[in-house]
Amino acid sequence: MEFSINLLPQTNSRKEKRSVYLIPILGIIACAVSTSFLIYAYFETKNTVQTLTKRIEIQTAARDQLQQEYHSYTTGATEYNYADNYKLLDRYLNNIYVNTTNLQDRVNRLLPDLAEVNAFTYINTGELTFTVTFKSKGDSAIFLHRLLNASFVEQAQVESIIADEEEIAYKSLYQIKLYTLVGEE
Amino acid sequence: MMTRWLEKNKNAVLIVILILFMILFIFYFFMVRPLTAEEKNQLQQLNRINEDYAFYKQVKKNLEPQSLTDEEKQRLLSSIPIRPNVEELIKDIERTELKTGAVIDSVTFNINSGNPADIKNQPNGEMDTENQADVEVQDNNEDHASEVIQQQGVNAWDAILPEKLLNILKEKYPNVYNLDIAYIEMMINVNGEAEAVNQFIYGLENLKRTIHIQAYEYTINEDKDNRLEGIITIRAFYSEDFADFIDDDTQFELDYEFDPEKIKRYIDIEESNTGQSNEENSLTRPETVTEQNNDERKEAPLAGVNPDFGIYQRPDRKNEGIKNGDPVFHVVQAGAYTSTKYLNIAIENLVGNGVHPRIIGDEMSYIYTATDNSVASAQKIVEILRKQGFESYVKTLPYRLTADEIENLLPEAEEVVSTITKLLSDGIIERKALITEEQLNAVQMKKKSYEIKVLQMLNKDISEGRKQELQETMSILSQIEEDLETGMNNGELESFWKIEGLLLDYMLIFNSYVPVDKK
Repeated sequence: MEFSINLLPQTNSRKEKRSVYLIPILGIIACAVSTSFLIYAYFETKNTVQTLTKRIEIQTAARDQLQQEYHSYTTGATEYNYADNYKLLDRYLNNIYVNTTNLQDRVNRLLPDLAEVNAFTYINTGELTFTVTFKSKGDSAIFLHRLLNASFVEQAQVESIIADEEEIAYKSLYQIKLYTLVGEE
Repeated sequence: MMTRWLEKNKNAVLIVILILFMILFIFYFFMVRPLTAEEKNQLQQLNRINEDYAFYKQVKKNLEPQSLTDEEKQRLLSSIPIRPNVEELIKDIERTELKTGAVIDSVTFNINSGNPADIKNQPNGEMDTENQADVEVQDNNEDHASEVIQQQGVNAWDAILPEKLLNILKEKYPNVYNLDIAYIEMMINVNGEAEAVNQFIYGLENLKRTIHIQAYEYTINEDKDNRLEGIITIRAFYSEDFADFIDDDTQFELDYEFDPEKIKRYIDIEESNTGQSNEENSLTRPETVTEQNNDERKEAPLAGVNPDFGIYQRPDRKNEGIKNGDPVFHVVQAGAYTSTKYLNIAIENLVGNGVHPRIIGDEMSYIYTATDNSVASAQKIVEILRKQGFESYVKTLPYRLTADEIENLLPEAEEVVSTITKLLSDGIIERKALITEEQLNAVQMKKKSYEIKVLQMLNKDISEGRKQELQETMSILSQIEEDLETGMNNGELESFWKIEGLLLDYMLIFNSYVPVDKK
């Protein structure tokens, strides 16, 4: 048989009772407050987000309309940009290709003495087929060498050298690729 | 009791509270926090949109209508017009041709409107230089048009530029890429001296109109005196995008004179067609141009010609051209014009220098300043006029007479004309308007012989119209006689030019040219 004897004063016993209740109650209160706050914050934020979404929709539509209007005023030719665009178009179209006569002169200047051009086929993408009669095969080699070293020639090759049956002359056919765009060299 | 239970389940209670807090934390972490982030995100988004809105509002407010100065407008319209302006291109090409001496055999036109939806790449019009007035537009290349439509991309530039250039254009010049561009592609068949053709191409490249030479090929024809025979493919651009903002009020007008002499190929043809081989004519070449048989000629462009000068229409009567041995006479031609404006200017210049010219309406208007039976004498008048700055040459014309007239009237007519022209030519060349009594008597004698022959002709069965013409020739000769008598006294050189004019009247009416009353 066991006996229990409480030797502490009566007041201590009351304090112990209070502490037993205090923590759960504080916990429950804190929990309740937190829950309320979070729920409030959640719905409040949700409402704000909904409002913002609507405002964004409205503002986006307004902005898009304004943007569209602005583009309609500035894209293509309009009364607000036609002068600038007209000048730009003129400048652009006049500065695409190097002049054909200029290229022809530069190619002709590379020909050795007494060479005679027989045929010339040029496309402004740069392809040039050139037939020239030289007094010797060496002259055709000199011309090829000069072509290969010319800054305006992208590539050059001789396709054929045919001796003339009646006189001492050699007809040479060249395939040349020229730089034809302004600033391409 | 409760206390004891709490004491007993203290840990359990604490765990429950902890679990509740954990649930709250989870709620916050997965529900409230993302929502807050979304709110923040949306606020930022809204701010950005508002900024964009404000930006576009501001730039839109700052937009101002643009304008071009008259000078800029003219330059740009000449460079890239707002419509195809094919007529200006034809003019530019012909002006360049005349300037350089190259000869165009044909030009084909192909208009690419640039709009894939309504490409009317069509009428492959061919301008044949031998019949420029009848530029026929053929409507037979629908297949080609549809082919081009297929080749066209969304943007007109896609068909114009190679891919490499297109990418640069899109990247660097988006504004240009957004413009509609169209072009006329022309294929020009040309021949001539190599230097002349190269000058022609140089001329094309330096036109005010923006032109790209797409291709150029030529061969040197050794059989034709090393003439260059080539084909040039060019593109001339235009953009209809600017049509709403610019009034193209430029007037189309030919600003050059078409001189057939400069188109050497035509002269070759004319010379070969005449078939003349007599020595007199061969001496005058290349300055002598003989009249061609042309039954299909059109009305002369005489409207608006200054009516103060003698104007004649070439007779409709069919002429077989000049054959070997045919009688001919010569006139000094001081110009051939398609433009009334330039014709009037030339006439006024001649008149200002004391010359009394006559105008002959034909495919174009010609100015004749003198007539002669001798080409050598006519050539001297040409030289006098050239010294005064009037480009002239001797033109050989056939007599338009019946066989009877050639046999019975022409010898006397030639006699009287040669007597008068010798007198006039000598005076004009030596700049001395002196007429001796002996010369006057010679003219009077020849005139009387002519009048007798005319009277004989008038008694024959000839038409009333021809009778009137012959009578008119007699009255003109009387007028000349009077003027010569007056000239004996005053000695003014202009009176000689006046008589030259009257002699032209005589020769033209004698050959059934029809005076046009423009007054």
